[in-house]
Amino acid sequence: MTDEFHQPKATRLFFKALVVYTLLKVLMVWNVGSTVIPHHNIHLPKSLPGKVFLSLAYLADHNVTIFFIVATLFLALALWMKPSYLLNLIFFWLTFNLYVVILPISNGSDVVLFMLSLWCIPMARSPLSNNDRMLTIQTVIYNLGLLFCQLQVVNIYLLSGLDKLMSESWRSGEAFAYVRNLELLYNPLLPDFFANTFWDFIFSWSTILFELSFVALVWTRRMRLPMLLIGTLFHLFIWAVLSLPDFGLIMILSFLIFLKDEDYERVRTKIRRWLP
Amino acid sequence: MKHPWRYDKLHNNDFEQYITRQIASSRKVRPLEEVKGSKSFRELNQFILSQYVEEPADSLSLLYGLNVYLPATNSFRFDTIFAFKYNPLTVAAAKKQN
Repeated sequence: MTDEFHQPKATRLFFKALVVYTLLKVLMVWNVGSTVIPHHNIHLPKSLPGKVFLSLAYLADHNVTIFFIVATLFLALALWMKPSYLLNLIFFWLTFNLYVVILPISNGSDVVLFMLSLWCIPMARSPLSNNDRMLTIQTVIYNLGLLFCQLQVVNIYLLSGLDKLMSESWRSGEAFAYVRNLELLYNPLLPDFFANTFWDFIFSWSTILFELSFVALVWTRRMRLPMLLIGTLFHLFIWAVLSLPDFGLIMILSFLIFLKDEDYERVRTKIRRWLP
Repeated sequence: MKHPWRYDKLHNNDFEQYITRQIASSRKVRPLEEVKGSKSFRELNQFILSQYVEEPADSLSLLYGLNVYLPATNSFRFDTIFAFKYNPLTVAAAKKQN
């Protein structure tokens, strides 16, 4: 924990992926945000610290278009900048304000985003201290940020898996029958072949087993990459079945925090080999 | 025709659900006339007028309910949460337009 910054290349890739995701999110909600927010009073605090912390949300309450322009410009700039404590802090501040602004149209992915952004604050190496003791402290908090990001993702699966395991409707497979009948969310192009109690049971238990096994196996050397691959397929499946694009995408991107620098280098080498 | 991934409808639907849930919870403790004055109801009224009502109207009917799926019979049961008929012009603005 104290000797070196863990996985600096992979963590930087993870941070950049969060920035790209947030940029996409802002662009996706811009239109509907401009429709909804003029009729909605954003819940804002009265205290001075609260007003300072949510000053971007105040801006959105007054003029949501300017808020989206400011957010887009900052995110576009953040893509090209080296992660630093200040940049990461502003990024967290923006994601939290974004959550407050779009609260009526938000979902679980927005909470995941600002929580991961919070743990990203210490995951910077700039400015780097010349003092040995300070450098050790920097290294420790960097590595703790990385660990907390990983624990955040694992915790989502742990709570979700346990919750489903305790639920009679998930254990019997009935929960999937409810999912199939969510009119606005369920993909009507899926074949009727899957619309029966047998597949409901299979899908329910596959979900429970994946979520609980991810919690344990993602830490092991042999199963880490297979679990990340299964997780990616799992979220792509949900993406195809239900209209939940942002949740699937943020969870797939969150897997980047479990990569090692060697994985990152291996992928980069392969991509370079494919390119002319 | 139904099609998958109706992202265009999802966020408007999220907002309508969010705001109608707030109205439904406030109706339990307050009479209808007070609900009409609540912030949530004024927000919903303003949203409906801007999104769905193309011609000036002096009467609107709002029906909010839950379409509950019943796996045992593979059917749906509609539970009405509230049904309002009111004049939208008597409801104050939720927020000044910028």
